Amino acid sequence: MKWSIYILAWFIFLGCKERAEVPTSNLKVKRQTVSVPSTVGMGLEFEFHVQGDGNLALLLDSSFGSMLFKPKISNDKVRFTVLPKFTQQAGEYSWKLLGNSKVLFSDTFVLAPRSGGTHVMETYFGPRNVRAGGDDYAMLTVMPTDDYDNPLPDSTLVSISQQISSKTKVFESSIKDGIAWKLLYGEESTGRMLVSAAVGNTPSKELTAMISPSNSRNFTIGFERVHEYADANQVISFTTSVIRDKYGNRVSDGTLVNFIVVNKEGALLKSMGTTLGGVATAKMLHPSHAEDWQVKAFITGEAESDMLKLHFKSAVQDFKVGLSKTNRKITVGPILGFMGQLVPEGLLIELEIYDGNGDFIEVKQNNSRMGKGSFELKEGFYPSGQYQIVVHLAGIKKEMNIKLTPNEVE
Amino acid sequence: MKNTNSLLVLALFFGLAFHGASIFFTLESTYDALIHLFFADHYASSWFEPWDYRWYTGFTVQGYPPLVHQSIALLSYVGGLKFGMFTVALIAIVLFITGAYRFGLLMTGNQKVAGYTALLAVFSSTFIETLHIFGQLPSIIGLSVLLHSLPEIYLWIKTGKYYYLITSLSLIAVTVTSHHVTPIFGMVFFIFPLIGMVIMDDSRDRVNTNRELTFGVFFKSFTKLFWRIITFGFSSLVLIVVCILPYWINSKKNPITQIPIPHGSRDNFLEVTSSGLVFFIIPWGILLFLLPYIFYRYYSKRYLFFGLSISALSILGTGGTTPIPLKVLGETAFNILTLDRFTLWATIMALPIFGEFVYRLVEGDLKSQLQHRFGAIYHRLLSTVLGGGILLMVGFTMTLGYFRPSQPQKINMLPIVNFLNQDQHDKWRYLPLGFGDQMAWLSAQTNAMTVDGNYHSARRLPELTTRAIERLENSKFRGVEGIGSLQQFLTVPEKYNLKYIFSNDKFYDPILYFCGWQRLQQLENGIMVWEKLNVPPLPANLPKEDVAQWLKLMWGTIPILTVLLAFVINIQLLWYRVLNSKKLPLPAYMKYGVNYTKFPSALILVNHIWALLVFLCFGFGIYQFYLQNTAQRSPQNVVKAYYNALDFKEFETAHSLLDTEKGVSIAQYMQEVSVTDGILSSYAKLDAMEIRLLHETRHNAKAEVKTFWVTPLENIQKTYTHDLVERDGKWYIVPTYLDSDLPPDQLFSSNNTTFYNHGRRRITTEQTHHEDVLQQPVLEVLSAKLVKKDGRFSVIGELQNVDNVPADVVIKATLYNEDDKELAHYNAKYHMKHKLMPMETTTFKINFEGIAWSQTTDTLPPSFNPDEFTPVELEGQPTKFNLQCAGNVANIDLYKGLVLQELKKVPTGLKGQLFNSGIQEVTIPLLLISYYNKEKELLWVDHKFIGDGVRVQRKQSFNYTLLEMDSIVVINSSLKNCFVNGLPNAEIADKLITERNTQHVFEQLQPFSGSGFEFIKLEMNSYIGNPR
Repeated sequence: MKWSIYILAWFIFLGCKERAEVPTSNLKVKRQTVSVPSTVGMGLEFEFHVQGDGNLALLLDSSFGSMLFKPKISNDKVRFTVLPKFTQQAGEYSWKLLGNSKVLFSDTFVLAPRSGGTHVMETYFGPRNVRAGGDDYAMLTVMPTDDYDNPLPDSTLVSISQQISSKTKVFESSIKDGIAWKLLYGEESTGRMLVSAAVGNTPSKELTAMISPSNSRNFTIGFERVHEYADANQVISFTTSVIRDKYGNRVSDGTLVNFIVVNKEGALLKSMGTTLGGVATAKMLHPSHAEDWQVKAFITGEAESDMLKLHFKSAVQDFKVGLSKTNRKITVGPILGFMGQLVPEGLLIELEIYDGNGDFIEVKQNNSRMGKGSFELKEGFYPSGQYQIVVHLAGIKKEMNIKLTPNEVE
Repeated sequence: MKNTNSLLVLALFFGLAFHGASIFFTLESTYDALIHLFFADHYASSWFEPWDYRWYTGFTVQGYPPLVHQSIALLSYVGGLKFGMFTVALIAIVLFITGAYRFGLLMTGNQKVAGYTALLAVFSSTFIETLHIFGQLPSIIGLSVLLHSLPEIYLWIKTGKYYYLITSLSLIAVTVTSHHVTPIFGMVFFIFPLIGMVIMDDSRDRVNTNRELTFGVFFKSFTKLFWRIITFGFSSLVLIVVCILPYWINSKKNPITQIPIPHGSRDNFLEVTSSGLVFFIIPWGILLFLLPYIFYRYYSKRYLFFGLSISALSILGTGGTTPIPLKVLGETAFNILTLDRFTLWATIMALPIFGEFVYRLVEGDLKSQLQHRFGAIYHRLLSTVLGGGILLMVGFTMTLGYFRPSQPQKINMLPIVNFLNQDQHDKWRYLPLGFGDQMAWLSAQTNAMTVDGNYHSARRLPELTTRAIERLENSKFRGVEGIGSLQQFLTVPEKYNLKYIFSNDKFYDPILYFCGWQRLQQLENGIMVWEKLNVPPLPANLPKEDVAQWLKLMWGTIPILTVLLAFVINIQLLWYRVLNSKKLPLPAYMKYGVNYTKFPSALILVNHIWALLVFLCFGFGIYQFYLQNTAQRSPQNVVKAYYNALDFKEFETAHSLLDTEKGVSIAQYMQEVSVTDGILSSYAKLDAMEIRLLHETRHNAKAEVKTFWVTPLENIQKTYTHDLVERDGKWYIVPTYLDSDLPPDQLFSSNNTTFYNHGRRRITTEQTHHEDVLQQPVLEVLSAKLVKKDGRFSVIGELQNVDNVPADVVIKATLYNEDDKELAHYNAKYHMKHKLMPMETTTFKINFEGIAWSQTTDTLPPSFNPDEFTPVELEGQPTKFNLQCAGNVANIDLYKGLVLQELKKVPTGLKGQLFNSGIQEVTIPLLLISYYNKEKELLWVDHKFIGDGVRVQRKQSFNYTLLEMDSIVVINSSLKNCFVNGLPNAEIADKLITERNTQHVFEQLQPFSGSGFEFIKLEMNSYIGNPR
């Protein structure tokens, strides 16, 4: 209880405060000089002639916000100085002179962006890649501003330079709503397009776009091989002529070319190559048996080559099939190649096995080694009896009927 | 005798020296410790905020009692997270040993026996396993504090002094806040029997001999103590609810939707012997030999309720070995609980009796009995065997993690942390693969987020909760659900803002490649970083489930307060004892100790027979193991051993199983192995094999081996046949022939266009500069259609890169019904070439996968099948589709060296060869086979992964079985809603290739007719395992 009385007493004590005095309004103000520059960043000066007492203040409204300035008073003159840093924004300003909280004078003025001097240039350029031919274009967009980042006024001239293969063109464009832009067309030849812009003495940075080749035209293909035999070992390579677009530019590096080979049976074999300097190379293994190939290359949807015809001769003329005593070991070879040499390692030998009634059992595969290959028909799988076997090698087929007999007792 | 038991001091000394030193080598590679570290890191950085964005696209840490985590967090302010973890572990060790001592003292009323209990607790295999292999710190602390609370509860019920009620409740509160399961089950298995014991003791006071103790007497005591029991029971229930109230509210709000994740403790231990070892043999350890004594003692009148409790615990701990646990717990509880905790409690409960046994053996009546009956030497021998057995179990348990590492090698996380911090990489989510539980340590060190996580009860994404996987990170161990779940994240990473993958296991590399990911760089620690293009960064504001302020405050303050309170209340007693010179009365339970005078001789016999039986069981088990695992004892064994050796890449072992007579030297064998590559030899895990002997004589056999391989892409089944031969009683495998093909050129050259992208040219932390942003390559959709085959909807089509730069392509299709309602969307997985050279085309197929087994009625497939497909459940009939294709400049994985050769149509389908004409070894070739009708319109796209790789200038043959296309229904084939880089496809088609020659596509089709189709096309995609 005691405490609450103390607290109450304090409140009462604090509440008894003298009321602030309002000055009497015998104030008379005369406008003397108001110096307003036309561009931003210069500062403002206001001078008034004053009679009587009163609180004077200058209220400056701009897009930046409102500011209140206090005067400097000397005798009967009142001077307001607005520093340049408060007038960096271009646009409309309005000022009011307040005397004892009443508006005594007011006016508006406009500050323009600063021309001349240094500028900042924001530039955007794209796409960075235009197709050759002269009808594809990229757009340069320029947003020049003054030092205070105020957009330059409409109709300011912007000069735009474009350089393609050492030839420079200069265009002029004018600013509208703060932006100047220009469509810049490529040429028929590929290369690099360099562009820049300038306002007065202020340049922009260098911007660049690539002029890439246009759609490819038809081309021719050739081939290169060590020999004409189907040994399933050597590699044949196909090469295109230099592939160009209709303006004579080489197609861009990495363009995929499909090489389609149609063989004797009508199956499509496929190899791929990507271009380097306009030339694509693809490789294929020689076939394992005599073949006729028709080769054609495609850049799907755009271009194709002429038809190339190839013939492969069989590398192997004939071979022997040897049998062991029990007929359980079948030896193929020696297999001789086109010069009478042992065929290269790894030639595929297939053995088809049929039972006595001609029903298919399985296919065994082996590769030639030192010109030979062998198969073993083990008792676990092949009980003794009559079998029919077919050996396939390099497109040659040999059939025989054999009788399997049991192995000797171990 | 002095108050301070010298055996307890010894136990503490040994315990701190032994465990304290070894935790520094074991704790970080345990299963759980790093998870707790991650939670601690969460509290260290935001104590009161329960939401953590870093795992599972955000989860709440209110799903686990916070005390241990918060303690680590508090200590981490002093010396870092790991300092906190080790300090808490040391505290846990001390708490456990002293807890065991007090429990022993309570049970036996004999300080010596209690001392032995403490000493045995230090070396008990169950504690070693829980701490050094599982790393379950909260569980240990919860249990230890529970043990500390038991004497207080006893005293409260016995004496009715409120002081003891307060001490016991303060300790229960600490238990609750450190582990939620311990107090709940501890109530049932520890406190109920304890209450029974108190009543028993009280009844004993009313009568003169044990014999007079009848049920009537017992009931009288029960009614006398009833209100004390109720007071305690009710207040501890309130504590359990209030102390972790936010946890219960969270459990109610987010019920665990996770489908059961298999856990070894639920296995049948006789079938899965590894689980039996870890969850039965190791925890019980030497106690197995003493079970008759333990049960004999626990079924004495005073301990009767403990006897019932330990019986229940031991049976529940046997998991799936007997049907009882499943029946007792019910399906739900059985599948949620890990049953190893029951064994843990049973073995802890057995400790005092074990202590008593050792006391009697070392210096009590058992010693004199044995010496009297069998002589001093036998007693010494028996003690040595027991001691040796304990040591053996300690050694075995401690080294288990060394010989059978459960975790990958320790990863140096710093390069990964630095990578995530660089260049705003943490603005996307990441995913570690093959990190084991160390992923939690990575997450703790970074602010970056992952879609994965290591606390599966907190998961929310249905892609994870509907699958029985622990983590995506180790999904290969979880078969179909694992890889299936991972593939969903890899195929549609945009959905999760997942851009970076850290791969510590090359097993996952093929699936990453074929899902359209590309290698970014290899970090200093050998971790490969993969990235995916066209993934938007995370939005600035992520969704979170907020909880009320008061819950946050409760969660942040109560746990630590319980510790402070318990400390003040309980330690006060200690000071009182130390400072007060007056001798304190002995606690009430001290007078119920038994006099160890006459060890029952029948028990000695029974226990001997039992021990012998256990020995025989072990011996039989080891013999069986020998029979099944001796490599060359039988033809089956040698084949099994050979494939296991190949699976684990133990080529020297594999070579030792080959017939020496054929003369393949180890050098030659290693040479041959080193040149084989492909999905089977490099990325497959042998799942199962069936061995069938086709033919067997005494010295020869032929075996057909059906092998089932798990690969990241598909399940592969392959059958091999082997000739086997027996020499000198050992079986060998006769080596098979190797392809002898020789390439024509020793040295050759290859010219190719390669590309380089600077990324950002200006080194700055700002957003990538306008000029450095590459223009997206322009693609053109040549055809696209919505088709239905076998009841499933797919969007298929063909697409071309019509730009001058290589493109990485992402295709997303959305299905709509007649009313333009969106039904489903998905991305193209591996039915397309993700990287296209300029002017290259690819066919594509988008399957609409749903989230597997979201219906509970779906039965879980029993075995592994990573290519298992769950079609999405559509709400209506799709009639329209929208196709969004996005191209981004690609500069790697542009290998086009594969050549299609020797193609032939055979009765079963197609046969052909792939030839590698370039200079990179193709590890996994993929064939895309597209089917066309008579009008050369696309019908279907299929794929085939070829099992073996294609080495440079060599060929690999393949077989493909053609499909039947009769059932294909084309629903919509309009290109109207196809968009490329956000622009309509039609505009692009008009602009870039104005005079497209449509015949080119047709001319590249194979005229192979089959059922429902007339033409096919083959395209090749190649995964290169080791790019040069």
